[in-house]
Amino acid sequence: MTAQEHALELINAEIDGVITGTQKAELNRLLLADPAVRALRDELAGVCNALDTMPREDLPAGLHEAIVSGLPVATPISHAVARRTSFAQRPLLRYAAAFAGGLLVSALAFQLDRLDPSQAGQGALAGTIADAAHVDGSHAEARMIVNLPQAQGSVTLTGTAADPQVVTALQSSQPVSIVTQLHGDGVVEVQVVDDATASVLQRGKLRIGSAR
Amino acid sequence: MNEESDGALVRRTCSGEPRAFEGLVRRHEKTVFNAALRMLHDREEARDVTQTVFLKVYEHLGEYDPSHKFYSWIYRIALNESIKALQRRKPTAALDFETPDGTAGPDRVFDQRELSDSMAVAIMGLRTEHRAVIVLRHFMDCSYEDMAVILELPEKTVKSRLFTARQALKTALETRGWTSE
Repeated sequence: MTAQEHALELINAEIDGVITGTQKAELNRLLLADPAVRALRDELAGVCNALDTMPREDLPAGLHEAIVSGLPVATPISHAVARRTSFAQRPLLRYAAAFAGGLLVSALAFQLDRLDPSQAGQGALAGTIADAAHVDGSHAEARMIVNLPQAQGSVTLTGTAADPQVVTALQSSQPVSIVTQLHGDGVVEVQVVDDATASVLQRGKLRIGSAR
Repeated sequence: MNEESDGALVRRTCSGEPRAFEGLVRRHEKTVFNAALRMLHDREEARDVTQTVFLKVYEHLGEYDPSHKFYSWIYRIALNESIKALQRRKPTAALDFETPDGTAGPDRVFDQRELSDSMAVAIMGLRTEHRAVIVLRHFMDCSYEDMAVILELPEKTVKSRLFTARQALKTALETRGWTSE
């Protein structure tokens, strides 16, 4: 970095109010020593002051009303959806599962309170994620209920032992990931992970037909 | 009085209270309009862009990632829509701004109105990426960090662009006879 670039960085840091004490002392030294730096600082400060004092225009008449009235009638669609992942449809995962367990990460960023009650069935979140018609002796399911401040809903293991499926139905107020690992003994380990901190919020183990 | 946060208004909107979205519009519409105006230098286009921005925000509200600041998201959409509007213009339209319409005169102090007008023209003479950082910093009050998020650039690059843009504005104003005195 040249001396001029260094001076320029200090001047801009001062203008933007992010100059540190050490930088300020350095800038003051440069200002005292070099009239060109003083001139540059005054000119750039003048430009920025002019920018900051430019009048902000009022909204054109009727624009607010046009924006609001022009919105679609339908409520925005949130990400509160059920996701179904078949290990069998993922050869790589199935291959990995056979030897070392498969790792599947579904990153979900949902809104609170967005599950459709008509789908949930009497307020039961599980109702959104497993169609009872598909659950018979060979399609038993195991479910982990998630009821955390950050996320609510459930993670269900369904399908057959040969074709297990993980179904998530979650709402959250912040991004979370559902990490599922298929172990060789047919057990699926489920973790709810806070994306912001990478900490595990909840974990459980599911096997077709049982939860433990 | 406690103002409801952007995030709370988003959740209410997505929870079936579309009227909550009006709170978001009211909070951000003036900033979005002024940013579009500074990007485009055309009130009608800025008006259309502002309307488009809020429509897109509403339609994609379910995709909003609450781990990010809402205004960063909406400002990014506003910038992108402004740039799209610029790209739709005929190539000659932008040339009007590339050459200052005033000739170099003696150094003098501009009055506020004159300075604002000259500044608006000087802003339009900037390259689009430089104009964007000026608008984000000086018309949307974004920090370096915010700008880096919105532009999806390293903070160092954002600062470099901002400093270059300010110097370009200084040069453009000086050619019109402006001094900082």
